Amino acid sequence: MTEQEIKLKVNWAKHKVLDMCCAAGKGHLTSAYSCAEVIAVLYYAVLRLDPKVPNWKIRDRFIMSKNHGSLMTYPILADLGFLEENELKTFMQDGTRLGGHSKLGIPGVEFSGGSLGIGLGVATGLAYAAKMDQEDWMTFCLVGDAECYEGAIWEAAMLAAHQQLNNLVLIIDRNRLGITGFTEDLLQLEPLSDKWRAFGWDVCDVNGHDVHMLLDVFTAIRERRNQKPLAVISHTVKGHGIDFMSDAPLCHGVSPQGIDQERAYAQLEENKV
Amino acid sequence: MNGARYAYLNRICELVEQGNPIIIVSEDYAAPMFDSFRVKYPKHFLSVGIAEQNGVAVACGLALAGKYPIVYGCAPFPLTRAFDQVKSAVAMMHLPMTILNSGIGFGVPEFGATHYNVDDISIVRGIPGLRIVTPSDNIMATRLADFSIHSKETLYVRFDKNSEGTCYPPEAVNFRRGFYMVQKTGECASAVVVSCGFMFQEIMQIAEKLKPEGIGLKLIDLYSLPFDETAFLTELGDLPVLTIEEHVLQGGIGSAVLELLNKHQACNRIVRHGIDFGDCYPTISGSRNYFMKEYSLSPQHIEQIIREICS
Repeated sequence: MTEQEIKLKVNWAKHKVLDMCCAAGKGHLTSAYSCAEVIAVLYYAVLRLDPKVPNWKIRDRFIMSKNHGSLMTYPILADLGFLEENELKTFMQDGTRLGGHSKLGIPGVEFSGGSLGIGLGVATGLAYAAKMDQEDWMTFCLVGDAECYEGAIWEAAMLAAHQQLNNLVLIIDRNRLGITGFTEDLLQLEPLSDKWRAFGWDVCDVNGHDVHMLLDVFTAIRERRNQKPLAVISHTVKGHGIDFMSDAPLCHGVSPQGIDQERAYAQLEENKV
Repeated sequence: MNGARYAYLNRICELVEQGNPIIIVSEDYAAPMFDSFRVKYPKHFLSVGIAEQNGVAVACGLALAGKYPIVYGCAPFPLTRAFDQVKSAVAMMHLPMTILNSGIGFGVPEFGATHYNVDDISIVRGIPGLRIVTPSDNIMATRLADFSIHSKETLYVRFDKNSEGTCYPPEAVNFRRGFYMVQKTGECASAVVVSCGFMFQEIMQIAEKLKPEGIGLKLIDLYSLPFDETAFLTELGDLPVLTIEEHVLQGGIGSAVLELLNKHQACNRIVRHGIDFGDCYPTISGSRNYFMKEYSLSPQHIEQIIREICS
């Protein structure tokens, strides 16, 4: 898929996520929008998947540890054929399987998320298993930057580096916001890149909204010769593309209401490329 | 070496030799039983350091990739430090694996209350799809190794360092039935005593000792939860029930039996005997025997309690 096509998919998927949140009256819209481009690039250009065989043995695994952003994966999974698009209307409705956090059992979903800090350990186990079996499938894991407050993240970081799991790619959604405030005010994370380097990881900083740059980084990943696992620090804006929801502390887990819905749709239209 | 833990590991070694994708996830707990295993099967042994949360999370990844992980560490930490991983990842994804705690009960009380493992059943009983197994002897431990690989269940295994020998025939072990009953003394029992693990072996000996006093007992080893409730109730009949456990009274096997009686509106008299810390953990140190006496779980105390319920 071309860069331009992926940009159009991002805008389409963000529209779908807005539809879902408006219909449900809830959902982590801002968390989803900060990682929209990363998720789209992974699914449309990087992950080795077969929607007809969701459990294909040699598929790449994507662990969505920052799972409150998992609603961003639903439209893309539907677009790829893992889900029926109609099912998106059930998001966070009674009896749906498309909850606010994605769960194992939804076609294309590899992990039941919701509790932060666990996904990287799970991804490390997957990557270790692939190495053990000398398989070439890769494991990708997306965590939030504020999720890096969890000690379990660093337990996994040590193990992955020690085991030289260069088939493991971690993406940190560095939107600089927790729930109640900016990370550097809440509890300083910087120098984040240096921390990952000190733990034995290869580190790459990218603009997480720049599809071109993301494609450059991710499509070269299989050619890496480095033995280290790779941490991609994806610099983003929480609520990207909707000005009144962007970079706003406490604007977490909320869906636009009333006139704000129209403003949000209008801004998505303006951003269409 | 002897003991149920070694019987289990010996069978695990055989299963590895047969090509089963078993991986011991070690949380750096010095255990002689794993020394030869990690030398002989390095590909089946992954050390994660003293990092219990990561041990369980990594095990989830291994299980998702088709491996069979056995997470092993110093009790109670593989469970208590990683409780959320057990609940939110292992149980929610219903992953086949074993979380193994060695040194249950007052296993190593000399090190203080941090090392008590007397509340673990109550911690995990509310997690759906998780089977709690307390192997009572070497035969059950061996059968458990096979069950773990073939059942696809999530297991929390409680090994007592004192469990060894054999209690009853191999064909009697059925982890889904969950209990074994043996009648001691004569044709007529005057009470049912429910326990598990090492305690069951002790109570078997106590029952023998009480024979000359004409005390007839049904002894139940409730070694696997959940269990076959209908069969269990049938064994109880209308006899009084005494539960004895090296576990706090809240949420252990005594609670499980009490809840069962309540669920079926059964009128059996029930006496639950276990540990009551009051409002604070003890700050003193001591041996297992010391604490068993302190909390009325010594053989002498148990004899007396049995006499009382049978009188």
